[in-house]
Amino acid sequence: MAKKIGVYVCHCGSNIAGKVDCEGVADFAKGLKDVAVSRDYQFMCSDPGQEMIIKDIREHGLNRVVVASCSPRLHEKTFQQACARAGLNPYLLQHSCIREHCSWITADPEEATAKAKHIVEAAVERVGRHQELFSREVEVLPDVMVVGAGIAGIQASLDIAKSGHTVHLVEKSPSIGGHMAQFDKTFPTLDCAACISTPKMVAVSQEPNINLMTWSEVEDVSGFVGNYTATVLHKPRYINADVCTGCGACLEKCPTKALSEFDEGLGMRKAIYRNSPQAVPNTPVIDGTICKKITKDKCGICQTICPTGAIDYEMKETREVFHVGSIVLATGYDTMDPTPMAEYGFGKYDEVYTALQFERLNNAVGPTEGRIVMKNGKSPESVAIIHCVGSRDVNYHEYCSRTCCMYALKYDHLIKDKVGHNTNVYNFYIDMRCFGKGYEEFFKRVQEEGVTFIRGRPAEIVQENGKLVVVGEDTLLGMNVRVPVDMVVLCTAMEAQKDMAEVARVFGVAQGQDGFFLEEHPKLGPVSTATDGVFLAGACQGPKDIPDAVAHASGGAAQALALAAKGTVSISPTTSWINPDICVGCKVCVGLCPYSAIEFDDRRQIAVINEAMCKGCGSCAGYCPSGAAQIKHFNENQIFDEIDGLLGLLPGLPEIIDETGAQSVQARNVITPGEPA
Amino acid sequence: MATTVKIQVDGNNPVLALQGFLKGLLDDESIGGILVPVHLFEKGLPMPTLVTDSAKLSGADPLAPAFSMNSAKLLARLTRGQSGERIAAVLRPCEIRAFVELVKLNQGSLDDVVIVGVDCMGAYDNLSYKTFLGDADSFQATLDFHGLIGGEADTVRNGVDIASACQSCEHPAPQNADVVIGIAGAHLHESIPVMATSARGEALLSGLNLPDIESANGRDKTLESLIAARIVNRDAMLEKTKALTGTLTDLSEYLSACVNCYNCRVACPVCYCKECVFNTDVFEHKPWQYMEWAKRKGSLKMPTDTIFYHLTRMAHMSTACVGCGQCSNACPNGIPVMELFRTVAARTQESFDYEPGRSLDESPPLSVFKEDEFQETVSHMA
Repeated sequence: MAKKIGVYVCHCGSNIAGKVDCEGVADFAKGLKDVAVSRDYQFMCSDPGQEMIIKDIREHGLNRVVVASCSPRLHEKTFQQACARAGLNPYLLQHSCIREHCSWITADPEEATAKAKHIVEAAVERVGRHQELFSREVEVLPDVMVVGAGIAGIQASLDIAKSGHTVHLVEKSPSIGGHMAQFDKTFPTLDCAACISTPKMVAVSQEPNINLMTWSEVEDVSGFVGNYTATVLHKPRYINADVCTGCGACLEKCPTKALSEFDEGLGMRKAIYRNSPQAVPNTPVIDGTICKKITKDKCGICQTICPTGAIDYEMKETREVFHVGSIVLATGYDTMDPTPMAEYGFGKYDEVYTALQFERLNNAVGPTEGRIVMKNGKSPESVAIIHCVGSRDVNYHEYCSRTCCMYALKYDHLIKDKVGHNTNVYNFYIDMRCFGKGYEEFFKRVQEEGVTFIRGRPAEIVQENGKLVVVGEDTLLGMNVRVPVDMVVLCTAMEAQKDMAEVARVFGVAQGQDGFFLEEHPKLGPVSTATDGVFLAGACQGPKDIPDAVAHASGGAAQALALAAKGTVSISPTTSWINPDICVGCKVCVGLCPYSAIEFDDRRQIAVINEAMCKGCGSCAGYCPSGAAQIKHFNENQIFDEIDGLLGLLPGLPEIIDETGAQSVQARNVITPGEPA
Repeated sequence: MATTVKIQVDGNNPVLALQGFLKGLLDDESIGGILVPVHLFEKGLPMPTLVTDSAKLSGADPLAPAFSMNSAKLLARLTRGQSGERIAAVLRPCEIRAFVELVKLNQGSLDDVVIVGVDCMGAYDNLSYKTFLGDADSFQATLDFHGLIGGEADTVRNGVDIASACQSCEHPAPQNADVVIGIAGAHLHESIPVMATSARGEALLSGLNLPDIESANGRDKTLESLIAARIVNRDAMLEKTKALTGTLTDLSEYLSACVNCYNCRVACPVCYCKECVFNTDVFEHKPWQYMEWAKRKGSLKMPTDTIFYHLTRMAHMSTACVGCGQCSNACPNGIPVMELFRTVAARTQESFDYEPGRSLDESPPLSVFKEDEFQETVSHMA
């Protein structure tokens, strides 16, 4: 069928027309092969602009359309839909960028116009090779998996469950609540963390639509948006949760002790333990690495005590497979270990604490039952709080952890409140960042409580005469300071979980430079990822305080629900395709595919694309020497013709002379198909 | 210490002795056939031949200084998928290295093959071999070529020398073989040492009941001086070719006699595509396209895409190029294709610290992603 191409050159107000002679470009396009109509217009994306295209398709019988305007990332969909409304397959459109790639970055109007002509010529050459492509609709399974049951995972799960969809909530710890369960009070309202989080935790355990799996990890995920298959590993708890009443008798008699992870190493726990009396679920867990019965077949006292016979030392790990439509990752964060920052003496001096340890000191069920006391049992007379430990520091994390200023203020208040108003509290800060609702007001309040703020990152902490001396500079006064205190709290950075890379691999998501999971777009897609159907919730995407984590989690839940509610999802047809007649079966593409979307057919000895998993990234096509693997809509014919158009020498093109001069003009033609040097 | 045995040479005929050795291999229950160069006719090139009847080994000439084609691709055919029987393949070092590359690309398998590597003293290209042969008997010519001690004889005969690929080849000794026949430095009219270089080779050799030899003395020294001389040749060749092909204009002139016959691609052992992209519709241009291209500059050389073809081949296979020289051997117009590809390959292989055929465990550079690679090139993008 003869090609009839319509070309539409957009002025974008003065964005393009300010540099590019749009009318000239449209005139030039009229002379190109197979172009039936060529027009320029002030705003192609406006309704009249789109109507113009639709009318031309109908009246002139156009079977290909080129729009030269802004980036395809902005309006390709708009014009594809306009084509579709006129009955033309949307993939018979080529959207070219003469704004970001041309008018905005070219100083000379004549050069800009010449470049726009090249770009349009490339589009016209390319669009002739376009083929009709059709999206596929696939079903979305109704269940959702949420990974991580901190406050973000809890929020996401509750939101999803409320809509009637089933949630499979996986938590690697023995109980849910995450870091928030370790906190005492929360800024700026000073709500007790347990008082506001326990109701949500209980709601999770009682919600019939939530299948809560603690002490479990997702081991493997396969499939694609709408149809994920996740394998969950249940670690042996050694206690039958169906029988255990959570009476806690076993906890008292166990003779084996270990440092408590939940208390950040400040206290001890037993080999059979649970994080707190309010733990959800309140079934304890036996630490199989230290339990004398499991390791040496001695003791066994818990079994003799247990009134319901729930203890089972023979329990083995099990695996369970779930089929879900989408996955919400709420795997949270870790706090940085400040030991490598030797200048602050953590691990060397007894009275240097991390922020999370200090939370445990404050907590009513913590190692000191909520009293802020030193290791010798006495109350500190003075406390230094050091901000930005590992944050805003090129040697550790360049980013701001966003929560430390506020929890430091909370500590200021709690120390004054619990230890006494005469306690001296010194904050060493770089900047105070109190940007949330009610945060600045809280800062003001704490300042009025008589807390000292010293601007400057301390150089070191030394021990002198039984006191810790914080050595630093007050950069506002411009003088060195040496502040003797009894206790130091390090506001350690929030960082990506230690196993983040492994988790990212399992779920097929990417990590940003900061190590946290990478969102699809930093502003407009903060909860989705490059992998369709995998969403983010909370601090696994970046440092967040509780309100932000909860809001983010509800966003992730809404995305998952949007998929589940519609029940189908459309799969882009611009995927790779491997020509079975040409594929030589070298398997290299199988290893290169970042989405595990290529399988090897052993019988036919060829590679086969799973179109539902393929993102059309082109890694396979880029390698494949015979061109067996090609991306639909970006195949070699289309790209070569586009290049040919780009390199087409226009009559009257301003000569571009640079150092490489004549050679560069020659070089531009060499790679053109058919153009020998 | 690996087993080293010797093949006794009687009647001053090492070729006959090697035939005897191969018959011994074929008599072994575990070997169903042998791929080896065989003189099938009185005159002409010995061709790679799959022999299953030991009587047919009387034409076998593993020492002939002829290299009609690189057998790596043939061995790939013989080992891709199951044949049910193990074979032995008598190969030159560059054939083994090319085969290792093909195995990495799932084109062949080492599972059911015993590789018998022969020290390579070089070979004439197909046209020169005829001149070399003249009126002489094929076997006698082979014996004359090698002389008394392997690797010591002058290689110029009847005014022709061995192929330039062989003159600049730094790999005369087989790598990754199961059994190595040590021609270099051997007193060929007395005995030829045979080394087992893998467990499979060890098992095979011990079954042949050949007499032990103290050591293949002289081999290392001969190889050393052979390699040294070849590296000098190689470096001079690389320098010369680099100077001739530094610019696009020079490269075009270098390849000006190319008629797009694609013989070099067919002969190349590591060009493994079933269908070359240059045979697909990607390069089926329309008549009006030719006219447009011609109009741009006033003329258009036909056939088109010549430089593009060679550049594409460099991009696709220069990291796997073993320098066997079959591309030059196959060129009907005498273009020094080997020199060009080895010059490019020297750079690409150095960049990836990759040596084709060195080890099965080294993945082809373009098949793996290394995050920290080429920081000097990509660091500005971070």
